[in-house]
Amino acid sequence: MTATRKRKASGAGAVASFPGLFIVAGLFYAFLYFPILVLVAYSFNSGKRSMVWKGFGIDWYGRVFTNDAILASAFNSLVVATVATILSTMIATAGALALARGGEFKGKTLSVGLITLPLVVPEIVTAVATLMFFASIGMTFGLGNLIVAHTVFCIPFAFMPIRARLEGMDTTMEQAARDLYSTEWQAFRYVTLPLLMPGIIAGATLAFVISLDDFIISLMVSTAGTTTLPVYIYGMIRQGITPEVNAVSSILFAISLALVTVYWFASKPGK
Amino acid sequence: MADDHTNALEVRNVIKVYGGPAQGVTALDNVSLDIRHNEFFTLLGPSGCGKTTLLRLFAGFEEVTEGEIYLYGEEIEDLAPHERPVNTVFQHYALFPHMTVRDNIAFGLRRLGKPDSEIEKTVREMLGMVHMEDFGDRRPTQMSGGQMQRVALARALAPHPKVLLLDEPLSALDLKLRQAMRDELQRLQRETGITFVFVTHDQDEALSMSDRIAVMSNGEVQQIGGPVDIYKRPANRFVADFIGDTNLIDVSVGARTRSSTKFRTSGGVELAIKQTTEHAEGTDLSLNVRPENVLIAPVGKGKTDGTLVHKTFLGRTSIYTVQMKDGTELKTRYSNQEGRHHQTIDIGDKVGIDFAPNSIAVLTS
Repeated sequence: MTATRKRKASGAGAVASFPGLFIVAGLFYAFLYFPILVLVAYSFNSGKRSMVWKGFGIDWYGRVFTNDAILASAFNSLVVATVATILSTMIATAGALALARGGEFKGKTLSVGLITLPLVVPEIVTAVATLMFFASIGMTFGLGNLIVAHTVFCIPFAFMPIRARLEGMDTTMEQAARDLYSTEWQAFRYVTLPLLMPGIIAGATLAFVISLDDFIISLMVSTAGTTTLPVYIYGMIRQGITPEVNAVSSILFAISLALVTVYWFASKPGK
Repeated sequence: MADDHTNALEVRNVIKVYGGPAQGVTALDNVSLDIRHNEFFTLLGPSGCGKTTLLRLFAGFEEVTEGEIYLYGEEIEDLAPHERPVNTVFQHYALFPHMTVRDNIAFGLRRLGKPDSEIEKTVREMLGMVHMEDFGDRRPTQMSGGQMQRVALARALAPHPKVLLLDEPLSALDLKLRQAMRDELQRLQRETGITFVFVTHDQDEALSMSDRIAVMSNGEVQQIGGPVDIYKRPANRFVADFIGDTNLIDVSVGARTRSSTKFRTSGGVELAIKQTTEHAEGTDLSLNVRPENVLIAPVGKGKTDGTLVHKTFLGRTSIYTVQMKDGTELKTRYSNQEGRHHQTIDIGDKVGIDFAPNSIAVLTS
């Protein structure tokens, strides 16, 4: 009797006392992270074959930084991600402002839906469609093609945190600024934009990570000379997995992790 | 300061409809009123009465549907908020969280392009005026509600607006602080000589601070007057009921003599009141009597007899509810000092019911 009562009182928190929970949860995390851990661990292998441990060494990282093809594709990735992040964040900010502060207009819900829909459209569909689109209009700007494609698919990712931040922001702040002799532009410049900044940083970070990690669309759109890092890694794997792949993947993983941490701090509410 | 116009604000036939003209909601229905220079003016009414809408029309956050608003003689209803020399104290302060207190207060002055030396001087003055000298470098997020309210006042007063608009600024504070801020607001109004327009739903706030009050309901002004005026001579049943406790007795006019009138309640109780009325015999109207003007008398010595049905002890005062023969209940309030001997009356006891002289207001609407 007392025991039942206790369980009831603790409500949903009682999940921790389900039998076997630790095993199930443990398996879940293992499947999720064990392969990554192995990958990172073997990037420090000094041996020649990726799955045979020969001792600790950072030789493969050295190899990565002297491999011109890897450096070139990494440079491509950074250029594409940086430009696409700037463009998509600007467009997403403008869109979020229009939708959250532009008053009521017809098709507002539809607009939000259409902006965020690409998040659930299978990427292969977008990739094939983008490739066909570029081909049919004869657009061959090399990296430019990649930048356009990345900008477009990054917009919804940048849009969501910015919009969330804006929805949580009281319009009375802007009214107070307007009341204190600010023009609309000044109210935006001195009040809305600084308050929106954490959302913009979060959106930009997310966009950057998504662009940096993108594979399918990049594979379709990139041409010889405009390969991005993930596409190049895929190419390396096809010639056999060397610890070099492990090393470059680990670097990519570390960069993403760092950026996601930035995103997490920026999107934390109550700042 | 001295303008040709003695009115700070003039509202002329203002109509405000939210939504489309077909299915819109009327928030203000042909409102006209004058707010005098250098007065503490309160817009009082229940939520949804249109008081906040009117304030937002003054500030420029909403556009009038029809009508005109004049600020010291200048027509302002089409000006943008930043073009109007009025400032607002918001209900939830609306301080800029990313700026220090000093930058918050300086914000309006900077937008007006004042020189730095003047801004610095004014900010210091304002901090002193609201007793927040030591808080200049703090962020609003590190302060209590009362402190934020003071900063909000300083920020709105710093540009020296022609009119200060206050949108229920005390409603987010606790009771003790609210009462202290009432005195503070009155002091600031007198010190600055700026016209204050104060919006509230709290009748105590309105009565205690205002020079004049506009009581609003359903988008219309019900009555404008001084606090005493509105309390003692309410224009209609709504005002009587909204301002303070009251007893409203539905009666029809009976026999009249030169000096007194007999009023008959619907239940047949006759009340002979020493008061003349211009209303013809048979007119239906309401008598408004404040609880402090209903008196308990010995049986047979009052205007009528009744029964004590309820006693409520409130510390300084007590409320006694007496029931007339027709079932109408009247509330009477005595301070526990002067009403000592009434405390021995038990529920169910017969009492006489009397009214203080000249305390009954006749209401026709």
